[in-house]
Amino acid sequence: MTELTYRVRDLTVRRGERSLLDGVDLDVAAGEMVAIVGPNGAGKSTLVAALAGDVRPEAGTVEFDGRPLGDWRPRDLARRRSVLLQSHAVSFGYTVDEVVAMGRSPWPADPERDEAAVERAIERADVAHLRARSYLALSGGERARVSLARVLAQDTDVMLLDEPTAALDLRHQEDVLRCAAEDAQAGRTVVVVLHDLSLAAAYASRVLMLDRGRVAAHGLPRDVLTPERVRTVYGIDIALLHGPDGSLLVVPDRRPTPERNR
Amino acid sequence: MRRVVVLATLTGALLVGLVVSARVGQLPVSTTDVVGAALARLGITSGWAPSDEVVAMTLEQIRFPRVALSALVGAALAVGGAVMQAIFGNPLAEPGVVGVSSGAALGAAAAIASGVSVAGGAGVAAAAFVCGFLATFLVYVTARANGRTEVVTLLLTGIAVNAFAGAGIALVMFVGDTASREQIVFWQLGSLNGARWHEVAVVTAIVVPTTLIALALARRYDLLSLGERSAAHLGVRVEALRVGSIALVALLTAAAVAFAGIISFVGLVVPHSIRMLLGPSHRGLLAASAIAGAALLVWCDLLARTAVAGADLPIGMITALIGGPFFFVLIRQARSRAGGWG
Repeated sequence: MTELTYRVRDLTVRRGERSLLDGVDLDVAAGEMVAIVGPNGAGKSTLVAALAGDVRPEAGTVEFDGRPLGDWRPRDLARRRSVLLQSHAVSFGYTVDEVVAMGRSPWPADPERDEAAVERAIERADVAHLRARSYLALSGGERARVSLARVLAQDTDVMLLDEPTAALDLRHQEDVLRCAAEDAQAGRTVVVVLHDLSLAAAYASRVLMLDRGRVAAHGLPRDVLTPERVRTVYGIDIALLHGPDGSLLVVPDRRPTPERNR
Repeated sequence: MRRVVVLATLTGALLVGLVVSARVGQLPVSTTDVVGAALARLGITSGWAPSDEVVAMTLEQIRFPRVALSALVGAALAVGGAVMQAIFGNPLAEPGVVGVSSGAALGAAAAIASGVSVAGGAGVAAAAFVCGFLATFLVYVTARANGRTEVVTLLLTGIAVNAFAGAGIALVMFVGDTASREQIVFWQLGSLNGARWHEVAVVTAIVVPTTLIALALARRYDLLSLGERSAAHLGVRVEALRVGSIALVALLTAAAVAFAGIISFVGLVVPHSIRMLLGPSHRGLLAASAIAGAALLVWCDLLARTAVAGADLPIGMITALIGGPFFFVLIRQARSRAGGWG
């Protein structure tokens, strides 16, 4: 058995009286791309925060590379995993180049390697045309891509991406997830929060569905994304179609109820 | 390249300011006398040393300590402002605006009134530091929520802290004797009049190391602009950086306030202008702010001494008079160019 990147057992996170995560188990191995899905407030971002080491669990354990997450030094962790958050705010008007280069900070300065990593990240996130612009002058989607470039420049084996596609147009949504899937195929580990179930079905090797802090389902996309389960968890009827490439498409069933059972 | 030009220009402005400020006064002194006396002070013998005993004494005991103190205080205020803006992630955070200066002044006032000042300048500075630290910490805890600073909360907190410290200072003045009352009034207006070498020594001992530490943390301040969580994901120990930086701000502010009183706007205007010239990257920002702050205060002090014949205006009034409208223009420019504060 290959060594697990993440081994999460019985993870429980509370804020005040409310439990945000309740008894979550999750194993992630190198080379996997795991999508975390679920309705608003299901605990997706909290799970990413717990995997990143940002929140202290009330109970349960998170092991990263076989060691409890709390035992890692921040610098070592930063060389092993990168995190893209939902909020991409930057306080001052740094240029795009400067923001992307910040991703190199955990590593010992090595101008050649740093420049190569920054160049590659800028190209992969498709932000080359924005390089000299002030970050504060960018649109929401542009900021998201620059932040992604910063995360890519960190060049870690493990990436945690919280809704990387949220502010992006159709083409860039695909670009970002293709990029992440390529990395996973190359042996890296990707954990990605997604709202679009079709994207999760198309790109993820496994899907973890959360419902009010608990694991509702976990497994291959086609096993997790069934109409019954989506109806239970999301409270909406869906239809499953197949795209031209054979991938699963999850769409809302908008027909009036009487027509559905024909 | 641009950074070199800006730093060279600022250094030039500072050096010229130092010499001009030492020359001008009731007793006019020639440039060669100033340079000669300064070199002698640094232990370098030159043919320029003043031959007139009165000139030498004036420079040595009155002008030089005052000029040196104004440069040091200016650097302290500008660097303190830049560090504060870095940890708040907000260009409007400044020790004077958010009440750290008046907090430190309350500490200094209490120390004077209660006679702690017999321990020398260091006792007043220590009291200013403790209260400045508490004020910074209070503002930080109140104005930060979920790793972000809300401008409105920040400014409202500043109003509250300023009001409280003002009331405290008023109380200290009420119960204090006439002598300490006069000293406290001087604190509130800000003045570099009557600077002494031992004060210069204390301020140097605080400002030089803290500025160097701030410069060493510059890269981490850059990462902090990504937000606390993202900075932590890049390996920054945010909690330690935050507490350490609050101590830095309190030290820098206390050093300035303890011997020069409340001088506002320097910590706001200087880093702001430097950001527009050099961009927000903190290494250049902190270095240039230290020099620019020193230069600004040296020139402001010169103005304070010479604007009205025979009168020594409070320097806090001068910086506010220049800084207020200047800041207003900066806000308008920044809003139209960079789309606001983000």
